[in-house]
Amino acid sequence: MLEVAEVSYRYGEVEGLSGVTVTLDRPQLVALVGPNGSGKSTLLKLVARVLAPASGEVRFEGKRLRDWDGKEYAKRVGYLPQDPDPTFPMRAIDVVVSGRAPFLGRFERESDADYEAAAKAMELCDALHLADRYLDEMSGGERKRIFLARVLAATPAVILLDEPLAALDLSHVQQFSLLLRDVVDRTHCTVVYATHDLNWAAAYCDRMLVMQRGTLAIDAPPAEVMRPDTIRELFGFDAAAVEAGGRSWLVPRVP
Amino acid sequence: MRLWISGSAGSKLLPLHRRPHNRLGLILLALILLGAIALAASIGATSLSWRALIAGDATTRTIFFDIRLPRTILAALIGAALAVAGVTFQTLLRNPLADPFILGVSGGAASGAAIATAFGLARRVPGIVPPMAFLGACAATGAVFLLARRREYTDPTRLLLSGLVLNAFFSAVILICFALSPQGDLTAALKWMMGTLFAAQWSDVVLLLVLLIVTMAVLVSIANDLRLFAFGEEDAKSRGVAVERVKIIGFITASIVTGAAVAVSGIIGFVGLLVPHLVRMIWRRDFRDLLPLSALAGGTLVVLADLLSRIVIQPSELPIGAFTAVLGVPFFLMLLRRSR
Amino acid sequence: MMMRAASRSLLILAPIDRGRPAAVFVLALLFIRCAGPEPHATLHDDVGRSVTVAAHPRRIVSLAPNLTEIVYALGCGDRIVGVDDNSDEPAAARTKPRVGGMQPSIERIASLKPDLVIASTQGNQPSLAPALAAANIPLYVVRTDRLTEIAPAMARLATALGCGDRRVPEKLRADLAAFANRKRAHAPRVLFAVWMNPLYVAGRNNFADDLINLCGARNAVGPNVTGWPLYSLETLVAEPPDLIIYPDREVTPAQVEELLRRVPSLRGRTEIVGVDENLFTRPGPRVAQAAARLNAIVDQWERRF
Repeated sequence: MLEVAEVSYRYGEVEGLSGVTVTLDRPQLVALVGPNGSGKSTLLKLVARVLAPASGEVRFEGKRLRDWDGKEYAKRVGYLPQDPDPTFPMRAIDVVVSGRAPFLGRFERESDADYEAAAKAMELCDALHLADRYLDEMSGGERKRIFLARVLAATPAVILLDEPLAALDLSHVQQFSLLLRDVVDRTHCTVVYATHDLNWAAAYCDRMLVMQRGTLAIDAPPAEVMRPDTIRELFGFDAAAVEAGGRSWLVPRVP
Repeated sequence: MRLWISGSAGSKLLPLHRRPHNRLGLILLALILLGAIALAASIGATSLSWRALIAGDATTRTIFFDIRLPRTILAALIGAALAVAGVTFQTLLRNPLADPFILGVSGGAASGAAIATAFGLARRVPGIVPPMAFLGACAATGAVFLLARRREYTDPTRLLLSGLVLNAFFSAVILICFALSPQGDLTAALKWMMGTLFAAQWSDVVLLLVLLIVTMAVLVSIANDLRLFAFGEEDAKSRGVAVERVKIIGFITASIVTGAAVAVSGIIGFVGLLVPHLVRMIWRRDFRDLLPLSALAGGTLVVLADLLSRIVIQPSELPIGAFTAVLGVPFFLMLLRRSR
Repeated sequence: MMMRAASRSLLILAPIDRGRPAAVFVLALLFIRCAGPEPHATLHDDVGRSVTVAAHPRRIVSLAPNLTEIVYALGCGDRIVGVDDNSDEPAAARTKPRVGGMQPSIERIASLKPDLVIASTQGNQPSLAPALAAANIPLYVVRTDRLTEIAPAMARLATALGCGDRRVPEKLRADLAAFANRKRAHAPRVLFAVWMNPLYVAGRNNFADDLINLCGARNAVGPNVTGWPLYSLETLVAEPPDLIIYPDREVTPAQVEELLRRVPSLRGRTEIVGVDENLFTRPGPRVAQAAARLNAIVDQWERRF
């Protein structure tokens, strides 16, 4: 369904990505991990059609991205950038329903069906009770859920999230990770999210893509990635595997 | 993606949550604007008798139909133009402090006018000031745009910076023109810059009306896209918005209508900056609704400001820019205090 | 001061008494040196500043065209060594070195080694005074804002310059008085327009207003309006003035046409007359000519009745 084939991208003089190839063909929760500057954001932007690859192709349902109509593509692939922050105060429901934009004609306004979809998205994210509130009245966790609902409102098949867990406190990190798992399971879409938090990613995701200096170092299920020797090689820190609650957790070894 | 959850979650949203067109707001503001126009048209330096007007007295008719009415309507059009440009720039640049003059348009227009008056052109060719001002505004717009455009991308920050720098440059041009020009020209040019609707005539009204209608049509056609800029350009782009195209169209349209307004009446401050905020504070909606609401509110503000400028020291007149501030700022402060 | 120094030297010489002739010779030298510079006077100029000026300044720089005309009218035009860019009357002034316009060059002024600079309260910058003081150049400021101030200012300037006599200002005063004593049967309403679009006119209590009143006419501007205000088009239609006077260089016939096109009801109702700009905007010795011209225009207008 979504094919990234030998994609490269440059940010000025710095190579953003080189020769990245990955295929997503079934609903799954994918964690995109790697150090800062490894190309996570760039990859997401290339798939979201925010950037165009310098070389290589991204294909969705067999068609090249550039051959897709912008709005048609947006109905199928949703994107949430880092730190979304609207310039002017907005209510939650207005933020979420604006996610229906790809469905609107040039002069059309949101219809009841659009509000319906928005409501469902908010319900999925357990944020319906926040509909009337303004964004600046909410906590960080609540705000993230509203923005997730905004992306979900368009009922896309693929959802790309750039570091959605950043700046969330611990309980919200788990909550949100669980929410993403829930979304994939209930709606059968594919969610790809960039994150720094290996443990939480590994706990819930089906697959991990590890980026390193612009290349895709590993594309494997979490069990394979979350091994001390792999982690040392990829991330450069020492960790020990700890079994807890039927899962493997990596704990940094403190010298 | 199978979203779902059966059942109608939407019904859980109270009807108030849904907000299609703001018909009530539009009608209210339209009525207020009409009221302001009626008020302004009935008050002036000379007191007119309605009976004389209906009876067809020539002097009364001349004053009302040839002088006062076109001036009042022009005031409304100028206010609408500036407010519309202001809300467009604020949305496009994601900057609440943007106003129609921030991108060098005011400096360019004033320079055009200063050059026209400084070298005696205005005396030899009457009526040359507005076209020169308009040309200056367009030149400024073009320059700012070229400066800010880099590799197919128009950076909003660079737009603002270029606008600032260009305004400073134009200030220098104006000062030089003034230093070189005879005393009388200097005064007239200065007063033009402070804003006046003195010589408003129907030809100005028609011109600006047509331009404003075209502007509104263009902006409405990109409104659905432009309002998404509030979430960031990358976000908008991922939603299928042709960001560069919308930016260019919005920028050029708003600049042209501003240039036309300044060419006709000089520089009238506060309207483009304040009115969008006033409207936003009352109605809290996005660009699609703010656009017509700002147009109506801006028109009302300038009509009332022009009325005051005409009657405070009659038969003389004060610059209109003073009154847009006098009327707008207290209202703004009051709303600021009341807001959350 | 130098006299006292001389006397002290005398005292030193006297007791020692080294030969009378030498003493007399040295004394003579000292006295000659003392007699060189002229006696100085400390005056107050028209704005109350105290100015120390030589009895007969020989190198005068004039920074306003009306002041240039005044100095020439007093008969001391030959003492002028520099003028501002706008001084073009009388013809002789055009050959004098220029020092600049609204912001004259202090360097230029200083290079002419003036012993007095005269400036006007109108149009000269306040920064002029400290700049000239720093260069040790005496500055005398003349006030001729109103019609009645011209003759006295001329008289005071004559004293300050040690030039001319009271005859010239007295004649001016008499000429102006002659106009004032005339009474008119019909007093026209007049606007003095300095710009047509927008219409900027002379308000009350200024030079142009004084001229209008002197000739027995009335300023059509409202009674409490001063400065140079805009004049409402509505009032122009509702109560058209009888006369609109405009200075002919600042305002062109094309602009007049434009005004008439905008307010067609003025045609045939209001006489619009251009006058010599220099005459009507310079409060100087020729102001009587301006009054005469305006008087003639009003007379012409009165003949309609």
